[in-house]
Amino acid sequence: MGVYLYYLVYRFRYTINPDALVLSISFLYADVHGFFSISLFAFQLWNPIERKPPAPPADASVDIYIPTYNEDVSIIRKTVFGCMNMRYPHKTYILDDGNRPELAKTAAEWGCGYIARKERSHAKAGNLNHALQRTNGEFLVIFDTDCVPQPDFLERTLGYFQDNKVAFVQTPHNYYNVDSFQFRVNVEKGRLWSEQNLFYRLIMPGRDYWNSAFFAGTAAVFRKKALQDIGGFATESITEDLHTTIRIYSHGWKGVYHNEILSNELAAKDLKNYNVQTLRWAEGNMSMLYKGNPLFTKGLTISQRICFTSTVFGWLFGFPKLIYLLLPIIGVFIGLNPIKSFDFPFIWRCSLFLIVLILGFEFITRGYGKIIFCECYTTLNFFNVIKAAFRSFFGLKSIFKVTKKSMGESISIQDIAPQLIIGLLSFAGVIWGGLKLYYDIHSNFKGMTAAIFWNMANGLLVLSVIKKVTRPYYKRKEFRFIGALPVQFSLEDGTESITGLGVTKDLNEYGISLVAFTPLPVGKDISLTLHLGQRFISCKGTVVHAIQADRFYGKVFVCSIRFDALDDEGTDLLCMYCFNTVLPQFRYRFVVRRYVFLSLLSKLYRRGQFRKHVRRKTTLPVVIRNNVKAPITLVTNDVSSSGISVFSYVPLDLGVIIDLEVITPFGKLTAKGATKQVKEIVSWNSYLIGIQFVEIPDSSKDILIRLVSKRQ
Amino acid sequence: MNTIKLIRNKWFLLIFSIFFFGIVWCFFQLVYRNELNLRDLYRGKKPPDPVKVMVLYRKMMRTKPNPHEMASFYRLAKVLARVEKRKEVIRILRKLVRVVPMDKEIRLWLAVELHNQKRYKEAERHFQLLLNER
Repeated sequence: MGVYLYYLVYRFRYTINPDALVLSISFLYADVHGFFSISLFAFQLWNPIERKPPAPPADASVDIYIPTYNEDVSIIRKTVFGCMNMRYPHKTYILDDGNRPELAKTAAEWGCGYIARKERSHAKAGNLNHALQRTNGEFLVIFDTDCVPQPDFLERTLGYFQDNKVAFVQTPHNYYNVDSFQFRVNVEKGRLWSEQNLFYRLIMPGRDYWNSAFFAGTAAVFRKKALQDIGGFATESITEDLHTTIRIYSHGWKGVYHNEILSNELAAKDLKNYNVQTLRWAEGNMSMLYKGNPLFTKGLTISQRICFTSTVFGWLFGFPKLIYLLLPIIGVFIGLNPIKSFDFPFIWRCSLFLIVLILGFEFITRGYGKIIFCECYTTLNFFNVIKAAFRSFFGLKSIFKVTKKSMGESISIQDIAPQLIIGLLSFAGVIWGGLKLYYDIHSNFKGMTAAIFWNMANGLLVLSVIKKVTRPYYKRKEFRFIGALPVQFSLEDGTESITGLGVTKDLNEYGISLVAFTPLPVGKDISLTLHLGQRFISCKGTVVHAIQADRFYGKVFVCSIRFDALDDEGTDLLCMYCFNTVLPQFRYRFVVRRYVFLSLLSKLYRRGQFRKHVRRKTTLPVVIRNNVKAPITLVTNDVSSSGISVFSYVPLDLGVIIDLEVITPFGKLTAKGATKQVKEIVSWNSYLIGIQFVEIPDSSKDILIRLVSKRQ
Repeated sequence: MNTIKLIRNKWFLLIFSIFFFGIVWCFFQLVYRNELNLRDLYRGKKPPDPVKVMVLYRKMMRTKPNPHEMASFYRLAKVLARVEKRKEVIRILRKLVRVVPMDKEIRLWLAVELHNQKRYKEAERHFQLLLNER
């Protein structure tokens, strides 16, 4: 902050160019805006809290609300079954603003309550208020239609209400459809970045310290009495969540943020719906300036006022971003310099400022913020945010538009027009500036070079954004969960019968990608037995597609299999298994490296320079036999010459000698091992078990060497 | 093939980039045609055509020099000096001195030109300013 302030003072005193006053002042405004943003950001992140939930009360009455309008029944079904699977006693209600008789009938079949209303005033807030008057629970939980809770959701959140002043408990939003353009995923390197993680995993816990965490629309528990105290959910704004929270705090209540992923939901799948969502959030948040300004609302503490002002202020980033995008373009074409004298004193100060800013941001965000990705998303959103700001300033009526969560829509050129224009102008600026220097038209070589470089950086940023949002998406209706399950398969190919044990690469209730070590003929019917922990699903399917993978010397085949209509029980069982087991195991692979130094250290460690035996991430089916218990079929997480680690649905006793049979592309690897480590991933559900080899027969040693060798 | 698929196509991007460069280059040639003509005259080994030089002079006198893009005006003054148009040289140098009064080289050249044209009082003023700056 000190370096930033020093830089700003220097800029104000020595760099205003009177020949380009408008450009200079705009540039300075953008830098000053950044200073305030960073200050407010740092304030919020002063001391993020990690809470340990107290035990839940024995006899709380809880109502679950699932507000819906026009979402697909298949999406609502998963949420309803996720809610009904929650262990703590509760009642589930579908709040249907679309007043659909077929949904009412389906809700009765599912065994959950159904509340509809004839009119649709105040959208979601009105819907919730309508239900508030018709249910009797002491607590209510709100889940959006695509938000599927884990079975322990209530057990982990209700305990906070032992404090009578607590009005609500909010949990993080976790998006599971990692194929959305909002994610940057590298499964092999264990890296996952999402635009929302910085907010939900760091900013909200930071705001919790200041008692300023806010209700984020879903995955939250409320004390009904607190809502009744403020007259129900706020209906004046389209972001009823923020507005309601401010009212709650102004009445002296407390809020809690429990920083543990307890539910999973869908991110907007395509740019069209993402823009709808962003516009709604931006408009709603900025409208707080006029409808319940946190600076002037009575009853809030100073830190709460700062935090909520930061929320509103944060949505004004569109203006400085536009300045940073347009300034180098204008500078190159018009030949005016926003900096009075582009000389060495300015260059070293600016360079120092940028280095400190980038390193400081990486440090302060504790591994959740990647500056280049954040810049990409501000470039993507700047136009919508400016649009929302103007709509807010001019008091245009905001409409609550539901974000569609079904199959993604194709995007058009209009959706990326602002970014395209900026990109084309930036690259034109690079060419124009280069030509000016080549033909000796511009005398300020350093200034023009800096402008060209800046244009190039902006152009590449825009290109990266356009590339990301326009990539082809899977035309599947539902997202496929990335995870490995053991699957027994058998099919008849003419006179030949093919059977085996493989693992899934991804799966959902409509089909799987099966990794097998024998080729499967396309178009044939196949019988499958999926091992879902202690339960099994037997079903039939069709091999739709098969390719030979490059790994393991081409002995691996990846086959797409479509289920032949699973029954309802099988569908629900598979869905819940995906949400409650596969998803947490998938998340387990990604670790947030808190500091740059630790990140570098871990890179070296992963390269194997300090490891005695290199581990290869490999998913293979493994059958574990124990003299006492029945054999269990699991999947490996990694393999090394000294042992393996497996995902298991039951914990194994430490030190016990077990028989292993790993099915590999090179044959069966049999060995004896001893369990050395048991790590819980999901309570009572999923464990990572480390097994050290004790005895390997000679016939299996060769297979093991081929498995762990570098060239696969 | 829809527009989005088109902009993701590598060959389309390559061809578009070439066309885009060409369009920007053509536009640049149009906007800066005077400066580019002047550059050719300045660099040419043969004596410049006085008629062409005067045409460029009249066109450029109508524009205001940008403090960072004065090289063209400086070249214009040099070319005018080569075709012995001393009055025009003085007018150009006066214009430049107004835009960048701190540039000693231009002021000195203006002072010398004024002296050579026997405009001693005006020359003296500029010499005085130069001496005071030391």
